[in-house]
Amino acid sequence: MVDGDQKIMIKIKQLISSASVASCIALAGMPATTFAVDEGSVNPNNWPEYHRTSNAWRYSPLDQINVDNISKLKVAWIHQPGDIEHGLQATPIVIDGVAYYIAPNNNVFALNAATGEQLWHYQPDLDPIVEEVFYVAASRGVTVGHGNVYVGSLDGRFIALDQKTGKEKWSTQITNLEECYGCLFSSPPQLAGDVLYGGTTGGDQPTQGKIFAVNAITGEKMWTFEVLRKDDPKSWPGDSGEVGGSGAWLPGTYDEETDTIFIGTSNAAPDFYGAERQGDNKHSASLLALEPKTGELKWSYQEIPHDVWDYDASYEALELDYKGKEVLVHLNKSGFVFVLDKNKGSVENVWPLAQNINFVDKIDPKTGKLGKRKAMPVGEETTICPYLLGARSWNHGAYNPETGLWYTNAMEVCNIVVPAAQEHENMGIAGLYLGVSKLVAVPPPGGKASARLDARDPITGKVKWSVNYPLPGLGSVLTTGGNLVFNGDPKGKLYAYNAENGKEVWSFNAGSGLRGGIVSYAVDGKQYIVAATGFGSHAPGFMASAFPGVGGLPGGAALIAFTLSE
Amino acid sequence: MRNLINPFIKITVLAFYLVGCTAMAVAPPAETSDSKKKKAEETPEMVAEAKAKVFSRSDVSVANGEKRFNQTCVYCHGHQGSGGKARKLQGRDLDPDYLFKTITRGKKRGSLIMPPWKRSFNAEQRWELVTYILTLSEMK
Repeated sequence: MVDGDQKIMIKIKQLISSASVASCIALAGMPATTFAVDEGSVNPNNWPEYHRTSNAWRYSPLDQINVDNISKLKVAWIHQPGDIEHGLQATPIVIDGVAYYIAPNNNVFALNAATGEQLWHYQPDLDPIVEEVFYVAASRGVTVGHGNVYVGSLDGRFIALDQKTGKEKWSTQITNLEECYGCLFSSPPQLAGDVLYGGTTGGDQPTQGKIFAVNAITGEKMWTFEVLRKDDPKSWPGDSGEVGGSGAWLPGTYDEETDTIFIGTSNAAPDFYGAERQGDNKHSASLLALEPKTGELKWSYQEIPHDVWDYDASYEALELDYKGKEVLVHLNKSGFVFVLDKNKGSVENVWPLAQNINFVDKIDPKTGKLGKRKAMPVGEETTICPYLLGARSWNHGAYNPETGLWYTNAMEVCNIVVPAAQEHENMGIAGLYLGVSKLVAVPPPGGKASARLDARDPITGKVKWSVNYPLPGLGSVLTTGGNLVFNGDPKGKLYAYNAENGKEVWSFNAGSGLRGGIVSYAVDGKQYIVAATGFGSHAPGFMASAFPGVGGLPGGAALIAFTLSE
Repeated sequence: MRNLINPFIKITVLAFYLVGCTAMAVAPPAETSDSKKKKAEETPEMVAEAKAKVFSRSDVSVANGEKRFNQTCVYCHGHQGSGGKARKLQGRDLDPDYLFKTITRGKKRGSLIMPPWKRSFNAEQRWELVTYILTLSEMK
């Protein structure tokens, strides 16, 4: 299960974590030799952070479960949180045999990861305002570190729980939902050393995107990064920046090597009506590199200047080495994948994941510059591809260093848009600031709405294999050292594929669709696969006109663990 | 592919050695606390008055309701109430008071949640939505 290099790595990691005088002496006597260590294979038995590793690979090196024996994969245990509002959207964290996850309405659980036995449960005393906002109930995970389990709450707090007991250690109010159209933490704040940081919802509301940081040990506020450059009239004319949206609503990643936070921002608001915000609207639809201690901007790359199509740049930044250069592979909701220099944010390549893209005629793969924009007159119908839910939903892809392939869900859907001015002055807390008078999801012109799981070269986009899905996959993908790729569909079917060729090798009907993450870990030498199943969220509502099959699907919430039968 | 991407990073023992031995401001919703209080105190008489007013100018009300529906409700209910997570709003014989109550209070069923819209839209605006949704009963 663990090869020689990995064993060495684990041993060294253990030495670091003990940080004892004895280990210092032992290491001091060793030569300054260079190790080549597979970055995806460190800490193989755990899933210690949101994407398992900071490179956002969602790759488990474990290979006890593999293509040859996966037919013996059976349910080991199920944990039901008892609350299914908006389904289960979390990616579980597993450290040293304990699984931590968050269910709807900020219900946090710690479980014995071998048996599913519940060790503790916590739910914050949430402000009743959480019932009135648009982004209700759902959370994408917790973060574990410094002996704490960190929660970004639905009522705008960062909360630290004792990792062993689940008791609250501190709670810091970050946002005031009354004042920001319900801006809240739907994703877990992430750690950058002693810094705990994260952004809120707020791409589709007349608010201002911000990224917040607190001291992870004490909960004291450290800095706030204002996403909107609202004082620059070239970016935000007049007072348009006061309501420019652009919240950073998904987890960022922390690169320890360069001490950098990478985090993406959402679309500018109002989403489809840009007449009152003529300008590039920085830093909407951008990938940001931030200095963790100060929140200073190291660099930013705006993928979609003056976005009027709801094309967030919030998704994961996959970190890879490419021809000796470190790059970030970053899918934008527009269907374009931006390959950027990790240290400068400069463009290395841009390639299309979606087959139906018409909002621009092209994006220059060398410069990233948008080509001719499709006219979208106010008050008239225009069909724009891809639609507002993107060429892929937020749920993440996975990269396997053994195959060199990136596995991601994708869909081909457009929307008919009639842009329209929208007053925000009289909008309530649950209101959407989309800037439309008509919006409907439709199949691509002359075609059919479709969905698939792709295996692609992450740098060039070249397709190795592809599996069609009747309904778009809305859960995150897992790939493992067992030459496997795991994915799920909205009906609740979980699938495993041969990572090399896409051949289906296993399936299981969970009864309700996958909306969260699938992870893998090992306890006492036994490998487990855990899927956060249970369908929900707003997305199926909008896509139903293109995919009628998502209507009426059963909701649910169940964490299901699998292992090989004896 | 493997030749192009090198997934390995270089970590030196020296690095291990070194490691081992060493307010926010936002644009507030325009709603003032006074207006919130006013909405919270919405009486049955006020609701009835708003209903009569909205239904007495149905053309304008339906148009206003349609625009608001497209801006706010379409995300979950689909274009022209074609359905999404919840049942279609088309082709149904829906009671106006039931629609008003549901929009006002929201609804929960299983994993589905509709937030309450009382604080977002005043009674007239909610009744306008009702008039538009009622027009969908003719559709199949």
